[in-house]
Amino acid sequence: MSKPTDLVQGTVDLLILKTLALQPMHGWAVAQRIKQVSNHVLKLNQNALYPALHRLEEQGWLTSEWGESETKKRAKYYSLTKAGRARLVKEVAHWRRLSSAIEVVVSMA
Amino acid sequence: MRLIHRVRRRLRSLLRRGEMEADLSEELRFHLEYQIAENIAAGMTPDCAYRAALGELGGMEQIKEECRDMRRIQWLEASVQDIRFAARTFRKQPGFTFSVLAVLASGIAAATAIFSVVNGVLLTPLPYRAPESLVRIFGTWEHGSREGISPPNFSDYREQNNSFESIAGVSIATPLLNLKAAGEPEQVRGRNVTAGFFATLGVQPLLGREFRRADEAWKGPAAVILSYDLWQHQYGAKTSVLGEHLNINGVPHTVVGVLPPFFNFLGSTDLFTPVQYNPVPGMRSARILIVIGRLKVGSDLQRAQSELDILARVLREEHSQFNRGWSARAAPLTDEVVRDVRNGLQMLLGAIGLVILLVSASIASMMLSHAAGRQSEISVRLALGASRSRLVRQLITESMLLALTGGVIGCVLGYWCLEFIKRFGPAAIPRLAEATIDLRVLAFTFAISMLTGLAFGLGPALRAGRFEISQELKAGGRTVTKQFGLRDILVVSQVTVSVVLLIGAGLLIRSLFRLEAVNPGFRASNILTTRIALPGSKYSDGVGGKATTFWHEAIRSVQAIPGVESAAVTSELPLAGLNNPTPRTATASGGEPHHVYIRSVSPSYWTVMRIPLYKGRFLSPDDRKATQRVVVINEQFRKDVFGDQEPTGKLLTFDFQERQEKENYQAVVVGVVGDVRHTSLAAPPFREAYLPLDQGPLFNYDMVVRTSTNPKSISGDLKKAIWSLDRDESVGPLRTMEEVVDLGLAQPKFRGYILGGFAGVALVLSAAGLYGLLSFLVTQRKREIGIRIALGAAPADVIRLIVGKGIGLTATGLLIGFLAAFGVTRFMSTLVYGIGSADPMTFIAGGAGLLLVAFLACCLPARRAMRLNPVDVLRAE
Repeated sequence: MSKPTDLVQGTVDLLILKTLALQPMHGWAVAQRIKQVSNHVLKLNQNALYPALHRLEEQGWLTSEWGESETKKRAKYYSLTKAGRARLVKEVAHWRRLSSAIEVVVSMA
Repeated sequence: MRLIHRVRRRLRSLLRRGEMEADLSEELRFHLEYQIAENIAAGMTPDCAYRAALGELGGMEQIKEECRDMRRIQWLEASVQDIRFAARTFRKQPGFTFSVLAVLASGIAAATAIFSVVNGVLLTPLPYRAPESLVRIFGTWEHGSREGISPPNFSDYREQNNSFESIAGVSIATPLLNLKAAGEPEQVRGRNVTAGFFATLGVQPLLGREFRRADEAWKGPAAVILSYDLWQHQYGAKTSVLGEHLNINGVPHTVVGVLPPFFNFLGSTDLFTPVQYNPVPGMRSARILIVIGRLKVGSDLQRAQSELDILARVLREEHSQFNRGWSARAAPLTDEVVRDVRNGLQMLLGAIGLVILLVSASIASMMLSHAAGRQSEISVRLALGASRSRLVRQLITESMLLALTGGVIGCVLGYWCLEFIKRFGPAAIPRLAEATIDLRVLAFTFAISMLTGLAFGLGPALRAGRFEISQELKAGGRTVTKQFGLRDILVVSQVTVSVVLLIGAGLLIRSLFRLEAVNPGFRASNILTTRIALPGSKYSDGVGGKATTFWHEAIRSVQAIPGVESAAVTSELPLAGLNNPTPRTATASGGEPHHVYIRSVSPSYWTVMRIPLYKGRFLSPDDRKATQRVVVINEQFRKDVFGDQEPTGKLLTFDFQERQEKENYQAVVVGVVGDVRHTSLAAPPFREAYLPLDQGPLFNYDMVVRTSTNPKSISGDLKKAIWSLDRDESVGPLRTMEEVVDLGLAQPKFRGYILGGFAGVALVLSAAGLYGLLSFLVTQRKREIGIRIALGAAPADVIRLIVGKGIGLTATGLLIGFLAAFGVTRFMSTLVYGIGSADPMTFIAGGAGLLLVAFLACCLPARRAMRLNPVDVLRAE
């Protein structure tokens, strides 16, 4: 039962928070958005997505409510809380530091 | 804010689980629908699209479970779930659940009750201030005997010591007194105490004061201190009781103090009067005081002892006539109070340890079989995606639930057991009444139940965690697992513990039989006894006076009761606790002084008690005050003092100087009678001298009455007969001599029965363990056995296979048990009587009994194996 995610560990949270920072979305839309924006490079598997959404909500960074989807179906919309925004800033800073560090290492002559 | 938010969310997820679950399902279904729509848009057929979407979503249930896991409330939720599930599992297996609970609860009950007794009697400090610095000081002679100290010697120790903050004395004797106070007249137990006795113990009177030095003066103030209970029921707790007068044995006394509730020193006492002794030299040999001391800060037992040695030597030199051979010994008071029962209780504590071991082993093996029966269930649940940690937790929850339930039932049972022990246990265990189930005992009990639960839960749970699912499923229950090793060890340890308990119980019970078979020196059947205390004021005119007349009249009127064969009085009823525990010295002319116990009896005493006459004559009614002083000695006395010489006609000199007689008390030996066990059945007879009632009277006598009918049937007539002589006379409780003897056996019986009960339980548990193991073996090896039978194995071969295994395990346990018992029973040597602690009979009988039971336990599974029909077995595969 290996975790079906190709993403760097810990980046799922960042991606979800960043995506939801634009507007409230349901789970499917979050996955689609990440796929599109990354030009189909990043694919967030449902197995990772939903537990992550629930965890982030549990931690108080997300909040959820039921709304109507574009197809007039009942869907669970997630949105960022205030704490979630603060968290996003931290996660982004962390990611920048990490990626630039990796970049430096990778581009060493 | 966030916290509140979170708490609310968690509560919601706990309380509204259904709603949350529905939400989760709907959310995932929504996702699924979009996926299907996308797949169709990509050109798949609806059917294909659906299947592909499901595949992509992975296990729907697994995602759900992971989502749930994200809610941290789940541990609580899961626990509730686990407990519900466990309860359901147990309901489905009432047999297993009942046996585990029964074993656990009875083990815990026994542990709780016995531990409470031991705790109350041995471990709880004495209810006095700083009990560790309290010591008891004995007078000792010969081989470290433990006697009292005479008041003048006590005074010298008190004046001259430097080691003690204070020392004080209390009379050994607790005579029955006739009390006439504000309420109904009653018989009470009284003691004399010296000044500062209560202060030494660190006990403050509730009202008034305790005695001062001035109260100790000979013929000094008649003051009395009341116990709390006496104050309650005689004066209705009236606070103005101080200064009131009451009559003790007809003598007016003034109340000076009231003690706090629950004051108890070596048994409860109703009232205390000051020690006021006649300051004559002979008083030095009246060793009537229990002396206690409180060590000074900075002093210790050793230093106190060396000082006592010096003081005792001075006393020996200055008063050699009375103190020759006597020294003083200090010992911690805590040890002293419970000294006689310490060994017995420690043995019970050890036995409890063994019982707990046995209970643990039994439960472990039950849990193992239980887990073995559930292996396929567990592998199915693993295959369905249950996480291992979750399964382990489930199994632990189950065993903890069992352990706690068993623990709670056990505590309740234990409480009842303790009440039972307190009510019916031997009255002679000091401080037993103080024993309560306290927090320490509860903690102990719960620790046991939690530990057993954890230990047995973890074993199977860890193994469950290690399963290889596929193997387990493939095997289809045909596996012969490795747990045999563990179960074998458990059965062997059960047998071992049982052997030790059986042998221990056997030793105690055989000792009990030996004790019961001891000839006490008299015939106990058909004798009624009662203690009669004379009101001192009316009868204080000395030897041969009114008191003596009263006793003679009492004997005469009791003898007139129909059904009474004969009646007599004695100052010392055998086996009923000592009234005059201090030995005196008797010197035969030209011989060495010997210690001897003095009894004062009426002439028909030996006839009533059926004590045989060996030489000379009994005392006779003609041995009056004015006639030649005579004495009857017992056989032991004759052997020790006269050896081969003819004892009758010899003159004995006694050290009775405190009687203010000008010359020594001398008496002629007129007879030799059989030895009587006085202190206890186990204690060998000691030298005794019987003086005639008329020549050596004491105030308190026991009346012994031999009847031709049931002794109790004359109780009413006896009381009437005494009261017809003197209405003020109080008659103590009426007991048959058989009851008196039984009372002395109460402690060995208590020990024997408890250990016997443990051994019985042990036997049943180990038989059950053996039976369970072999039954399991037969079930597991059904196929093999079926094939053997099909291939022509004779029934005897099959039986040998099963019984051989059982007996092999039993023999191993037996061997280890013998070795262990041999090591352990050595510590029981003070508890066995008449046999060695390695008594071969007991060992053999215990081993044989166990083998027999084990053999029976093997037979049933063996029979089942023998009757297996190979066709059925092989077809069932």
